[in-house]
Amino acid sequence: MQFRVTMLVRNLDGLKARRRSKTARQKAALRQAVEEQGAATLAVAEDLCPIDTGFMIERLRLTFTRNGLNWNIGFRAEDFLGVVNPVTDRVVTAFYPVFVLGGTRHMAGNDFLTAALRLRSARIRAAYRKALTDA
Amino acid sequence: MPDSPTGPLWDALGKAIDQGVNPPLDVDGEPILRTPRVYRGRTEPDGAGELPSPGYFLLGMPVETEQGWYNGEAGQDGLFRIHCWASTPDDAQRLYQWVKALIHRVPLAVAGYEPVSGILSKSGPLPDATGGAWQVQASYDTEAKEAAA
Repeated sequence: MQFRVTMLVRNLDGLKARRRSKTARQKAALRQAVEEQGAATLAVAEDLCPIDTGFMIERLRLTFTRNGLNWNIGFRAEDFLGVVNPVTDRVVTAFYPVFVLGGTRHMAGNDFLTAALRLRSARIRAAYRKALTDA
Repeated sequence: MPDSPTGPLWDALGKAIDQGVNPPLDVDGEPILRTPRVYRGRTEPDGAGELPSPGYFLLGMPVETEQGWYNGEAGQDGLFRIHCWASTPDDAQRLYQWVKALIHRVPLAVAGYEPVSGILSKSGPLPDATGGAWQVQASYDTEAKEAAA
């Protein structure tokens, strides 16, 4: 059985906005906006994340890419496989965010990552547009 | 103002699947869909203790905020997940193609709202956690508008 090694949502609007930036002030404002929006989206994802032992939410990562202009939020298999859950004292043997997010044959998925990104998308783009306004 | 149309829209999707004609067949000409065709929500399907054979649609519950929509903006786009479960990847694909013909860009009657149409896209096939089943995860993107009073 194959497992995906990551379960991520990506935001690529920062790099797109970078191409429209002209001044140093705009570039600096955009970078700040990227950081803020990534953090804000992570907070929403954390609010939406189902919690049982807390093991999964503690491994929810925000990572900046493309020289800090894009970001992704999600999970990586290496943070789960072979790691002991301190609450259950059991070794995690499956990258189970795949099934939390994507569902199993008995339980519909809870794709809170996509939900968080979708909830924030309009605000993200608005923040980047504002950053590109050379006030 | 009515409550979120999420519930009525789920009902409309389930009804479209329940009433859909010419359900898909596997390579041997046997029906892929079991009875019931549709299960709902994040809880286990009814009778899950008896492990129903794959061959059904599992309607996901959208993640809702206070605004009542998946994306948090009431009255605008919503995103819903329909999980197409079968015993093989090819059969899961056949389920997806069948439901796509039913609801992709097809106006659905939604109680208390103007007809809804959505765009269906897919991910997968993906395996189940314990094996023995495969899903195509369909995403239904929709717009809904409140019906005139």
